[in-house]
Amino acid sequence: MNNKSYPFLKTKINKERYIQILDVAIPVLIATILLLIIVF
Amino acid sequence: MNFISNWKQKFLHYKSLNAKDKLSYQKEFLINNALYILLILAIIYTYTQNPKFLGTNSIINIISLSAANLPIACGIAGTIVLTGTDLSAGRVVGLTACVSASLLQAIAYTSKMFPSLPPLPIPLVFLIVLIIGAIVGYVNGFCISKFNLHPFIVTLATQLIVYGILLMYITLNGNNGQPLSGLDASYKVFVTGSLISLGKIAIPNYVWYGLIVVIIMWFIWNKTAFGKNMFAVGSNKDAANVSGVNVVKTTILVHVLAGMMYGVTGFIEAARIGSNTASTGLNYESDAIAACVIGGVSFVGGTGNIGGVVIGVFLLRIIFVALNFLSIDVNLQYIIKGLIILAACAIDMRKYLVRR
Repeated sequence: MNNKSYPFLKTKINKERYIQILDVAIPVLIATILLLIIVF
Repeated sequence: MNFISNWKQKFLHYKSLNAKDKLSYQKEFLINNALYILLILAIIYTYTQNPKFLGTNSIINIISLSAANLPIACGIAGTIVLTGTDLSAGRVVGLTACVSASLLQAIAYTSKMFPSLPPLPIPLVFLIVLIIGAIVGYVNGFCISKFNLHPFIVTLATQLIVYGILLMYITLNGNNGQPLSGLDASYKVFVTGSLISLGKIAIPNYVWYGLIVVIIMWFIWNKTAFGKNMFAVGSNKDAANVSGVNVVKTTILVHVLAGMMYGVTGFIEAARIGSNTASTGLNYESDAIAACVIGGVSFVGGTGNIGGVVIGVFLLRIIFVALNFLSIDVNLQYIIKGLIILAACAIDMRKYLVRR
């Protein structure tokens, strides 16, 4: 399949990259929750 | 004993790792159990701010509130295992609560909905609400499995239909939507009475009903062919079909069972609240879905267990009660709840990706 005609195919989710993003997102979310509880 | 040997094995495995692997193991552990760590930190922090949080009264309160929500969460969990969801749950709880309340109002109550009707036998009313829940569940399951419609849309439609029926029901006999209260004493005692007390603090009966529901659901999920079929359909519908599992029947049965659980919740809630209106049960489904996701019932399907659901319900309730104890602004509580659900979904997704 020609990728030029289907540019969205290039952005296929890379599993490793996805896990890396979640590795940052989860602690950030948890820290935000704790911060909200403690600060307010 | 199995549990202890399991942990022992895990510990030995951890000790045999080299420094680099140990670090990544710790990271995995921290991320996978982030919510539980958050819970422990929240409990400790709340306790330091308000020591009453861990008092017997508060603990019984948390257990009671959680027990009231256990049946609906156990019901919804089944639909989530099938990669679906059920938005009609809260409204079915509302309808069944109003039906129970209207049929079990005290005969002496002045604004009784059916003035000439004596309070019906409790088992009969219980059966009626189970049947109502099962009918709604059957409609959901039938449309989802036979017409291949998305559960989100089907249950959204039934939510509206059930709400319409509920609104019509509470205007029957010139009731004009007034709250249904003045419940018969036997009904109130049956649900909110207390057979067993812990010291001076009474444990309401509905805690035991919640426990019975959990045991029944655990048995259905783990020890019956239907339970195995449910997980098979949730993991891969086509593979289950090829293996000889009746996908349509399983889907319908899961929804019927879920509907019956909403009936049980409605029956309990009617007596617990004591004054039921059309808004009874509003948004119950969102709390139940959140509890399931937090408890590890994955939206990718085919994963989850009843133990997880129970933990999810308790975890969510502990956090809600803790937020109240810390007297955090009610508006902010919604934001925190949303963030907790988001974190639970992210952790769930990460676990799924790592396993795949």
